[in-house]
Amino acid sequence: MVTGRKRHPRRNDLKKAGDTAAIKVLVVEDDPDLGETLCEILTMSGYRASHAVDGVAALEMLRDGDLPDLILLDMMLPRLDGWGFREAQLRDKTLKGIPVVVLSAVGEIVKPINADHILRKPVTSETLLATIERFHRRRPD
Amino acid sequence: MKAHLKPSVRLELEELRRRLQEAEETLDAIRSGEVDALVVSGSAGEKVFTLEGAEHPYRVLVESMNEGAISLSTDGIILYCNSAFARMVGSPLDQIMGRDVCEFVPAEERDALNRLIRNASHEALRAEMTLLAAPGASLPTQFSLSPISLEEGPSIGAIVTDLSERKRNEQAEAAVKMRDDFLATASHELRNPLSALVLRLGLLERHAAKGDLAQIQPSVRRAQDQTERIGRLVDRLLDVSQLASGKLKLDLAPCDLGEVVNEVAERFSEQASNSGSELRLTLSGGIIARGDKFRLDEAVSNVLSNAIKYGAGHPIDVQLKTNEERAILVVQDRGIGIPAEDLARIFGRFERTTISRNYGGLGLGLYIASEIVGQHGGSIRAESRSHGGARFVIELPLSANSEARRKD
Repeated sequence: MVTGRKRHPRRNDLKKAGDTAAIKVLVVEDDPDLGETLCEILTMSGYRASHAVDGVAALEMLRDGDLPDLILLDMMLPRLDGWGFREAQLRDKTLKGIPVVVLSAVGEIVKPINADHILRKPVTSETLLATIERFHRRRPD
Repeated sequence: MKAHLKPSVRLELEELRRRLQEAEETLDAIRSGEVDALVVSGSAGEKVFTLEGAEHPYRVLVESMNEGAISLSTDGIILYCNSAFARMVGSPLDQIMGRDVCEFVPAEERDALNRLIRNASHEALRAEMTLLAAPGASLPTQFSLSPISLEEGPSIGAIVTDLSERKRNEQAEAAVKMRDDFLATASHELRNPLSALVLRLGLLERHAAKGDLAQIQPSVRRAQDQTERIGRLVDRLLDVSQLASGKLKLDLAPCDLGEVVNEVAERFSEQASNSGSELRLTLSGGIIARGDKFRLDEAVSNVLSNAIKYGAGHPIDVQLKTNEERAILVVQDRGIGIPAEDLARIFGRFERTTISRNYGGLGLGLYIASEIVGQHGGSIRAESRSHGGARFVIELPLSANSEARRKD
């Protein structure tokens, strides 16, 4: 059972007029090879990517204030898994507006997850980039 | 007095005595089971009550049961058994009655059965027992014992249920579940390196399209790494499959453990130094165990690679020593350590432990190591050090004569 949310409420207040800086993506992935590769692809495609290895590290990075425009979230994570991370994110006023795309293997979504979109592993770079383009919060209205 | 009685009265008295005697004899006969029918004369004529008739439904019931039914004296002698029980043990009825029921279970279960019989004089009890059938054959059964009261005195009724089919079903279900778990783990474990590989190839394509030659070579290298990782993973999954189904065959021979550890350490020295860990070996020589060199190498490799993964940046101590009976290999890192609650779990097959996930591990290496060591009759344990780091201790039997024990 999976619940998805197609449209994310706009956070126009976070969108600064004339903000031309690169779109920021936080990759939360515990597999170091996969995490690095994802970041490399994003960087190469003009995004600013940062990498957290679990839910706790991701929350720490977010609370340090460098808010991304999208979070790419693996579900099976040590310390704090994808569900736990999402709960904590939604409880935090400053974080809850950041769109989340889940990147997960079939069978890993063992309980419903509230996310903007779910991508299945293995994902191609085209699908990955198209999805990020579609859901990041600075996309044009 | 007699002389004064009228002859008719005397005759009547004689007749009454005779009838009383007859009634007492009948009662005795009934008690001792010599009578199988009573003829009762009444106004509707004579009616025959056979004792067999009264028992008949129960006899039919007991004889038609699939379960063995036996009655036992309180000291375990078989007083009666039905034909199902006779079929189960493969002997004719008359060769079963009068024997001690313990003769029908293996020697090592006799104490348990005797205890069960003793206690069943007071309460209903059940236990699983092995029933010896034809020579060399046996059946898994359940004995359900309860106190019963027979003419002969207190006895025990036992119903013996053949569990073979249930056991077969349980085994089949367990095998199916294991296969499902295995497939789930396999596909899950393959997903991450496969994702990385797919994305890496996408990157390569872009580099190639841009003509960015400088980027192509490192990307190809990374893609190769991923393919190798997938290959290693497939090997491990096959190992796990063999271990789990008990199909791993050990090729046992005297095996110099110092040599094994040295070879493994040599193989890992580059990886260790790349991750900033010095391997410090303290190996006593001449420690020989009876083992499968290839598999022991694999077990030691898995433990050492684990230490390098979690102990990056710090030295790793590898020590091989012996006490009187066992070879002891200690691999100690100074890395992140293992939470106390995970110490036992990390050897589980499908345990997704925090630490192994955190480091993108396959999560199977320690399971494989512990299975290999176990099949050699040894043990493996993990300890977390108070000052940080983890310590793995492998113990293997030294005795050259010791046969590798299969771990079920």
